[in-house]
This record gives sequence, C-alpha cells and structure tokens, in this order.
Amino acid sequence: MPFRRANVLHPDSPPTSTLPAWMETMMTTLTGLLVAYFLTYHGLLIHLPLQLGVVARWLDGFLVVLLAVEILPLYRNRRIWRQSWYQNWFDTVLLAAALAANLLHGWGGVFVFLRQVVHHGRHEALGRFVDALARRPIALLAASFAALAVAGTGLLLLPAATTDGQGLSLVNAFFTAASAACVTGLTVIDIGSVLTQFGQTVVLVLFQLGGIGIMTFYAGLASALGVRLTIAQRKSLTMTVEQPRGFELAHTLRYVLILTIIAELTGTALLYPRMAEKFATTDEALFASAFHAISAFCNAGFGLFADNLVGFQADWLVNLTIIGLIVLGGIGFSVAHEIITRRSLRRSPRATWRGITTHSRLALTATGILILIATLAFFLFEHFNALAGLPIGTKVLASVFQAVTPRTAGFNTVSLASLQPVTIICWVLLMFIGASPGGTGGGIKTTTAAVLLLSVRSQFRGRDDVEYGGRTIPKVTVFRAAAVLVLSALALLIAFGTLLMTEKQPFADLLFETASAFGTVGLSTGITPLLTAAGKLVLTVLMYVGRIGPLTFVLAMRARERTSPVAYPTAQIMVG
Amino acid sequence: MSRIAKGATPVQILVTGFALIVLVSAILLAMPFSSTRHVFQPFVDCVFMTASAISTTGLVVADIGKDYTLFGQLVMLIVIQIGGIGYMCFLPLVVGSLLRGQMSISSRMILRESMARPTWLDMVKFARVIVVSTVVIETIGAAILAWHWSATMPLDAAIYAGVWHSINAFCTAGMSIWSDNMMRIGTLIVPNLALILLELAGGIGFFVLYDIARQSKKMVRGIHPHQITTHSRLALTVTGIVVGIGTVVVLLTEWPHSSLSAGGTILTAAFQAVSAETTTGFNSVDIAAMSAPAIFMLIVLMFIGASPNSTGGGIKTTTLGVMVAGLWAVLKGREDITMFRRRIPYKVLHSAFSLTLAAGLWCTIVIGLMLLIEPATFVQIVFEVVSAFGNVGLSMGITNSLSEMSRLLLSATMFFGRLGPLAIGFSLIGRSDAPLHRFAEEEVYVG
Repeated sequence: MPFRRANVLHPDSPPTSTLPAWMETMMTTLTGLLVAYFLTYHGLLIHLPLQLGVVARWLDGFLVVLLAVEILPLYRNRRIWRQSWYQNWFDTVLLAAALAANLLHGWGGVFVFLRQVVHHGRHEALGRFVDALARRPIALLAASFAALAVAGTGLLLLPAATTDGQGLSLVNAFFTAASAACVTGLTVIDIGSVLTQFGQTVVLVLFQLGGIGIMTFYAGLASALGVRLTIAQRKSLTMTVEQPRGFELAHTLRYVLILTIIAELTGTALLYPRMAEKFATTDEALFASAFHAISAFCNAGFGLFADNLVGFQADWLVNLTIIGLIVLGGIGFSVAHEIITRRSLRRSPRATWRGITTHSRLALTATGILILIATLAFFLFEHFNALAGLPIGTKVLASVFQAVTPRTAGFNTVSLASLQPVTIICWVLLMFIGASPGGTGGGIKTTTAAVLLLSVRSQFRGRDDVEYGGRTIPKVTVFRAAAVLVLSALALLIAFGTLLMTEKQPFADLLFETASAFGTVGLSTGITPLLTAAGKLVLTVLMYVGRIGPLTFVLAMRARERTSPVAYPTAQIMVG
Repeated sequence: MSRIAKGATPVQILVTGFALIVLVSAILLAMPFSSTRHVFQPFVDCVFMTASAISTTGLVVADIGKDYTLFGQLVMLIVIQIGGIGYMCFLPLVVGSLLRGQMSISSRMILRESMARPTWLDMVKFARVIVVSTVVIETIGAAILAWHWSATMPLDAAIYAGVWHSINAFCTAGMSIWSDNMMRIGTLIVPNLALILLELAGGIGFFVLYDIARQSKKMVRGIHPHQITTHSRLALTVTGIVVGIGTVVVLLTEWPHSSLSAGGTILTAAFQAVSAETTTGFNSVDIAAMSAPAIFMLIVLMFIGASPNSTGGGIKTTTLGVMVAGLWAVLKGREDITMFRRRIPYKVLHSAFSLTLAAGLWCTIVIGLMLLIEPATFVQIVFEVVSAFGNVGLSMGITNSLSEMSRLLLSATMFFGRLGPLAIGFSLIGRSDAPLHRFAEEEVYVG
C-alpha cells in the first residue's frame, strides 16, 4: 500500500482527468462566462433578460454534472479508492461544494471555476510554486496579497456591495479589502449594516483566502527548505528519494485544508444556536455563524454586529467557541499537526508533549504564558473599569477572551474605548508579539519573542548558546529573530510617527491602532472610522507590511543565504 | 582596591560604588545646611536628586538655584562630575585589578580584543587622557559661557554660571541653576553653539576623543597608518545621522507654528535634537508646548542616546549602528555583518539587541506601573520614563507632581539606564561559568 501511494506521484502515474483535452478547454471557457454573468448580474445590479438567467441556471447544472463525470470515474476501482482519494481529494471536495451550491443557489459554477483554475497538474503546479518561492519569495508573497486586496477592492466598489446601492468609496473599499485580505479586522465601516450579504461574502472570501494563503506560504516555505514536519510523518509517507517537490506540500496543504474545514464547520455548528436567536431567518443565522467562525479561525476579527461581540459577553458557548477557534488558527498548522493526530489522541498528553518538536513546545509554552499573564493583567487592571459591574464569572470569562484576542484575532467582548492606559500599553505589546508562525495570525510571532528573550537570558548568564528545553537554538535563528524584531519595530515607529502628523487623535489611541494594524489584529479603541484618508492609507500599508513583512523577511533570508567571497578582518565595537 | 575587587565582578563593584555615592550625597543634601530654608529635606527627594546627578540625567524635583545653598549646589556639581567621568576612571582600576590578579597573557589579549580599548598598561594613560580632556574642554566651555554672560550679569555670577553649565553640558547632566533651565538663551548664537559643542564632545565618548586626538597627531607628523578605529567611525557616523534626522524632523513639525525667525528655529531645533541625542537635557523652549510628532522624535532620540564610553546614556549609537548593520547583512543575504570594510563579531550583535530588548522591557514595565499610579497623560509618562532611562532630563513638566513611589521608580530607572548597558558591555569580559556541554541544535521557526 505505501509503495503504491508513493508510486502514483511518479511522472507516469495515471491521469487525473478522464475527459479529453477539448472538453477541458470548453469547461474552462464556459465557467469563465458563467462567472462573468454572475458578476454582472449580482455585482452591478444590471437587469439582464430573464431568459439569460434560465440559461445560466442550466449551464451551472451542466458544468457541475460535467465535473462529476470527470471526477467520479476516478473512483471506479474500489481496491485503490484510498489512493484515488489521496490524489483527487481537492477536486472531490470542490465537487461536493459545487453540487451543494448548485442545489441551493444555482452558483456551483464558482467552484467549478476554482477547480479549473487550480486544475492543471496539481503536484506539478505546487512544485512550480515551491520553485518560485525558493527563487523569488518576496515578489510571490507580495504580489499574491496585493492581488487579493485589489480584486477585493474592485468587488466592494460594486453597487451591490452596499445596502445603499452606491458601492463603497475607493479609500474605504481599499481599506476594507486590504484589512480582510491581510486578515486584520480593522474597519472604517460597520460590516453588518453597511454591506449587503454580497459585500459581506466578498469580505468573508477575502479573509478566508488570506488565512489559508498565509498558511500555504508557510507550508511552501517548509517544503522549499525540504524540512519535514516530523519524523513520524516522514515514516508514514515512506518518502522515496526521487519524490517530486510538490508532493510534501500537497500533503501539508491537505492537512491545512481539512483542519480549516473541520474547525470552521464545528465552529459554525456551535455558534448557530446563539445566532438563530439574533437573526430572523435560518439562512441569515447560518451565514452569521459561518462568518464569525471563519473570521475567528482566520484570526480576522470581522464581525457582523456593530458592537463586535460585546452582546455575547456572558455567553460561555460563544466565548469558548471563538477562543478555541482563535487559538487553533493562531497556533500554526505544524504545531496542530503534531498535537492533533490520531496517534496523539491515543497517547497521554505527557507522552505527546515529549514527542513533539522543540518548535511546537516553544510555541505552545509561549502562547500559554502570554494568555495567562494577559488574563491576570486584564482582570487586575480593568476590574473597576471596563469590567465594573459584571458578575465574577463573566469578569473571568471576559478577561480570558480579551487575553486571547491579541493572538491577532481582534474580536472583543468588552468595550475598548475606555481602557486604562496601562492596559493599552500591555495590549500594544501583546498585539505586536501576535500569534505563532504557520498560523493565520500576525505580529512578530510568539516564537520570535521567545527566542529573543531566551537570548537575553543567555546573555545575562554569560552563555554563548541560546538554549531551550535541552536544545540549542541555532545562532542563525536568533539572528533572524533579531532582524524580524528590528525591522518590525522600525515599521511600527515610522507608521506611528506619520500618523501623529496626519491625525489629531490621542497618543495612546493612535499607538494602539498602529500596533493593531501591524499585528493584523483589528482591535481598536474606536478611532478607525474617524481617521483621515492619509491615515487610512498609512494603516493599509502597515497592515500589508505586518502581514507579509516578517515572513518575507525570513523567506528572503533563507533563499538568499550565501557566503560572501570576501571576508574582512574583525573589528570590535563597544556597545552599551 | 585589588583585594576588595578580587571576589567581585566589575559590575558588582560599579553598582556598589554608585549606590554608595548616591547614599552619601543624598544624606549631605538632606542636611539643613544644604537647604536655603535651613530644614531637613525629604530623603526620597534627595535620593531622586542625587540619583539624577550621578546618572547625569538632570530630572529635578527641586529648584537647584533657589532651594539649595552654595554647599548643596557644589555637592550636586561634584556628584555630576563623578557621574560623568567617574566610571571611566574607575574602569582602569577594575580592569587593572582583574588583570594583575588572575589573568594570563592570553586572557589579556582576549580582553584587549573584546574591550576595543588599550591594554592595561595603557589604561592608566587612558584614565589620564580622560581627566585631562575633561578639564580642558570644560574650562574652554566655561570661559566662553562666562565671557558671554558677563555682559548681562556680575562677573562672579557669570563665571559660576559658566562653570556650572559647562560641566553640566559636558557631563550631559543638563541641570541648571536657573528655574527656567536654558529658556533664557533663546536663539543667541554663542551659548547655543557652545552648549551644542560641549554636549557633542561629552556624548561622543572618551575613546573616540582619544582616538581622534591620537590619529590626528599622527597625521600632523605624517606617520602612517592614521585611520581612526571602526568603533570611532561608527559612533561618529551614527551620531551625525541621528542628530541630522532629529533636527530635520523637529524642524519640519515645528516650523508651521514657530514664532521664531528662520535661523532661530533651525538653531533651536538643532539645540533640542542634540540635547536629546546626547542625553543632556537642556531645553531652550518649553517641551510640553511642542507638537506630538516632535515629541515622539525626541523620545526616539532619547532612547537611542549617546555613544558608549561617554558621559551620556541611552542604548547608545553604536548599539543602533550594529543592529542596523545586522539587518542590512540579513537583507543582502550575507553571512557576515560588515561595516567600513570590517567584520563585526556575532557576539557584539547579540549584546546589542539583548541590551535594546532589556531596555525596552524595563521602560515598558516602568511606564505601565506609572500609568497605574499617576494621573498624568500617556505621552507625558512615556516621555518622562524614557528621559529617565536615557539619562536625559527633559520633561514635559510632570516631575514635580509625581508621587514618592514614582520618584523611586524613576530613580531606579535612571540607575538602570546608567549601569544596565554598561553591565551588558562588561559581560563581554571574563565569562567564567561557561558550561562544559552543549545541547544539540534544533530549528525553531520565527517570523
């Protein structure tokens, strides 16, 4: 079995499509037309002849059937169905989605379109992606997020995006789209009342793609480096030497997508009972549940309520669900992959803890410590301020929630407008640190902060090596962490200085806003809608830098590491 | 000295020495004969004042000119002078005792490397250089200032003011015997330039002064090579860039609402930028009246501070320079950190960012605590704490209204700001507890 599984990825493996090439081309063209129709009709609100709608509906059904005809025969050999699933899981999932979308709303064509886009030779495409990532990491990363933001801006400008039928202004559309693509969650408009469900769906798709996108890049990074996630995983895959480059990435991405789908579906189901109380129709409640679940898992922090989640302050179900999703999304897929496996469920937590990599242990410890300290800090500082008048249970719950949300999610269950200055400075720090690498969260990352602190400790103890849990952290990693910190701090300070010039808001609020944008958090003391256009642009750029900056930086370092042909003599510099 | 020093690390000796001076001078200041009102003064205030003086900060909770008698003022002046050059003279003794006691020739070589300073035999000479250059520079400064002020006040008062402010400028303390600090010099060219030059000389570091003097002597005599060291180049370059950027930003943000003439505005902007960068803390305008971006710029300048081995504070210009060079190396994908065609050892970078991080953490914690107990605004407290950490002494005017708890916190911050960076610098010497084993390497993802 393992032999076969590896073998199917060999160049002479069976084809992944059962249709002739001309039919593939026809499918791609038809889906393109269909998507164009959808955009014209739903986006621009132009009245097209009724017959066209009927044609579109039939075309949609036809395309879904065509996709089914193409994919299902791949499963005809029941002896190797696991192998077929392994190879065609992505198409199969999309087929299911397309079928559901067709039956419910008649727009399964969108999923067929998506499938056509990523179809041509997935492993080869992923291999090319990894190669490109190794060659031009910055360009690739920067371009993908910029493209996402620009496409989103275009869609939000459409009249159908807003309830007043005007579309958003250019600056606001750009800000909202960038905020969603970078999974930040800062908004200059009230998503729930200003945007229509179409507009909300655009935002939803943007942060979903942004969240998965960033995880894909991390996975691509791991693959480009030839880093295996765990030894256990390597064994289970029985790697052969001539493994195609995209293979491992395909495996990782499969895990990422499955984790995302399961987490978001579970979250939606858990949130549904509470949303059903707030919305009139099942459809709306379902959409709201999915919106908040996806927003939480992607650490976006967009909500449909004007007061964010303050209305659910005392609701344990909503709070715990959102907290769980935020932590799971922010911990990083590599860590999740190590702790959430069939094997680890059978073993004791202690055995799992001993079996995981140093990276996972460090990320988990750092996250745990940050949440603990932040909970205590919020409870103590805000006891008589933001938390005043609440029952003790709610106070604890709200403290925990507010402590988790700077893992760059950006939801809040307590009004942040009147926080104590000391809380603001703590939260600025927490937002700057952010989540763990490999997740949907932003910031300089928990492990970066941890490595730097460990390094300061070793400096004070007079040691050369930076050690953690019986392992030495390589010098070059410490070096990278320092570089990420210095560059991030510079970006933050420059943006903050610029904002001080363009805005007339209080110092503390602006600092909070800047850190929130850099860490792609989305918490705000409420000044975002009051910003000038220049201020909005500064924040947009900062969100973008905060999203791609630290990762780009590490990617660039990995890709371009080389020894200089010249070595200069050493000079000593006094510091301090 | 060497017997006492034997068991202790240089850092321990320094901390104890500084703490003793603070204690003794605080007791002297608290006595009735130091106060113009002839009563015992609150001890916490005296500790604050002497901590401010020994760390050459310049934050004050009393009006030195009005509240202190001549005796009290002289105590302050001596403490400032000790704080300014004390540990530099102290250094040869400490290092000397270490060397004589227990170091082999090879360790001396290592020490020479890691300190980037002359060997022990040169140390005494170096101490002499420090004292001589201090006396010469301060005398020249005092003479110019006294000559300038003698036009408007009696000669003895002018000389006293000249000496006091010259010492305060060179030692980057920034205390004044006048209640309005330096507001009275306004845009007058002579005192502005004299103070700027004194501050720059004090903030650039004795090693750089020594280096420049030695190499220019060589150059005059035509002896090769006469290049200054990489350290001096870095310190001079970074100081130039930082002061330049600071001046331009302050100028740009203050220009729209400045009531001064064009030249006066430039001079004032330069004065404030130099005052913050060298961590002196004189102010010729009201800081609290400045615009938010200018204040933010001053905060950044105060945090960066002067050059190492100087009378100033902050994380130091070279620390910043090394970090930027490290960043540059990373961006260019180079393994080596290079500057001016020299390679910078990894250890130096490690110290540089450890120091910055430790400083940032300390400041953040103190800011957080003060935000809890003080009614002042966010920006006022941030300014005050960074000013204390950088041993600057600029204030937005809240020092006098702080609670005792905050005064103690600020005293500790001034103390830490003076000795913390030094301690980390010193930790490069004599690492005795190196473990006998090393752990296996394992990768951690960052960023």
